[in-house]
Amino acid sequence: MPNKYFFTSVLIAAALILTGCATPQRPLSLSESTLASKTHRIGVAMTPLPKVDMQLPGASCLLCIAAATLANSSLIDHTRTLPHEDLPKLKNSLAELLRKKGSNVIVISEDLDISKLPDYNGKGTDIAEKDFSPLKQKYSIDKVVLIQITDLGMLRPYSTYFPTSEPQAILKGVGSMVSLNNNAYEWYMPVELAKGSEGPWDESPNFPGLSNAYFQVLEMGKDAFLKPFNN
Amino acid sequence: MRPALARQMIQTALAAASVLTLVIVMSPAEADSDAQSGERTAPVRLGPEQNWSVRLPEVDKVVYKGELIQDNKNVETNGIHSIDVLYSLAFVTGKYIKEYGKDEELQTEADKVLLPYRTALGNFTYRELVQRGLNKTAVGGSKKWVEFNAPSVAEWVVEVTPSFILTQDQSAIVLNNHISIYAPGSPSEPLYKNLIRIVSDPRDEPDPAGFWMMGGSERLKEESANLFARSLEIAWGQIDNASPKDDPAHPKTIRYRQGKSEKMERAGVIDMRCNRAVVRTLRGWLMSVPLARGDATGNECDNKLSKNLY
Repeated sequence: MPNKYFFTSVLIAAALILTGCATPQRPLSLSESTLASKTHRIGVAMTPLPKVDMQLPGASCLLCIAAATLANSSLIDHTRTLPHEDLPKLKNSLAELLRKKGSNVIVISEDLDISKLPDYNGKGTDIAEKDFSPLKQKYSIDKVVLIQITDLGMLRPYSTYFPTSEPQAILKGVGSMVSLNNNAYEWYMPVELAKGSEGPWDESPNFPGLSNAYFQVLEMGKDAFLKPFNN
Repeated sequence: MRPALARQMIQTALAAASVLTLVIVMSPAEADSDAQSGERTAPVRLGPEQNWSVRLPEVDKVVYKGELIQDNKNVETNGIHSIDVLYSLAFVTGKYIKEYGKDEELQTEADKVLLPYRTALGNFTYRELVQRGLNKTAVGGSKKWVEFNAPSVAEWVVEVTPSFILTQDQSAIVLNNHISIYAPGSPSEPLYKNLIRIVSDPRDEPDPAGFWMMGGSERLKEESANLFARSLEIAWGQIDNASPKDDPAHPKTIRYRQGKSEKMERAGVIDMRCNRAVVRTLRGWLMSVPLARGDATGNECDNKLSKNLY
């Protein structure tokens, strides 16, 4: 029977390697040559903004989740009242910077739900997993600059029932530019920001310290996405 | 009893106890008094015939600290994914023990920026600071300081607790002043109470320590007194104005300069001129800050004092 266990172990390991360990896209900085061509038309888009909410990573078991949710209920309620502010206008600011560099730019007004795009058949280094080519015809563009904000709000890390840190305001996302001719990334920049309260955080019901940190993170996030185009 | 079963029972008991404890201990507390700062009963205008005193702080020497820069490195955004309660408890306990006293260590490190100023600051007393500040304040009639333990007087009294921060680039000074204003005959209940923070305009000097220490640290003392005087004027201005609820101060995120760094604060703008703004933070504190390039107004300044400190 040892052979059977060995075979099973190999199968599990192979499955993990093939399914769970996909290579993440490496960061790619924006080069001057990427924007050099003035004949290319660039579309600037954003994915739908996530709901502003609170995350409690590490509170994994059902009872842990219940305890952590109950302990942070006031902050969770408050977090859900925080606005996106002018985050939806980020694509307009980015388009303006591209125009200043002489690029031919359009702002794609609707939110781009990339989950609805088909998977791309080709594989290779710096090739996007989703097939962005349908956007070429739809918007008459050659490249798309995409701002994808995935997480927004507060985060408090846990280990089962116990918080391992104070809550922090967070913004996570990715900025990217995809060439619609070959579906290759020409810019790929993960953004992961977190900021704690200056002074005490536990100030229910309005949590001024953490609210301040949230709005600071919003500004820092906007700066981070715009910075490569500001140079 | 088998060890595994015993361990399981301990875990279950711990889990139940933890839920109860967490609910009791970790429910967010009510806002402390800082959040209610800036409250008062009625607007008051201090006429030129009305005298007032500043009650000195309890300590003698003016408090200066080095700017603590929180660079958000080592920010923890991932939980510890474990199902073992005992492991979690041990991890959290170990982490708190490891971090105990770390803030003091960081502040000690930050205070090293004050080394060139140690001798000068060692002789700088609150008496001198307050006297210099009062000389620069135009509010009300005659002004004087009284000792911390002096009995109540039948005039306006301002209790102050000013402390200063020198930025790590040594280009600016930040004042944090806890101010309470008592009306004549009401020594126990302050009419106004708030924390007022003033950030000086940044100085672009090649030798900042040499600049501040020039003339026997005269510049450092004068700038500190300017900030202190401005904090008193802002506090009196708040008493003079309408209620804070009437402030046209819809919060927005302002960007300002603290030394050569840019900082942000969510706040309602009370006044903006001379490329500076007076704002009310979400905690109700007041700040007077030099605006960053994008937020600066570019308005002409009326006089030297406002040019320096508004």
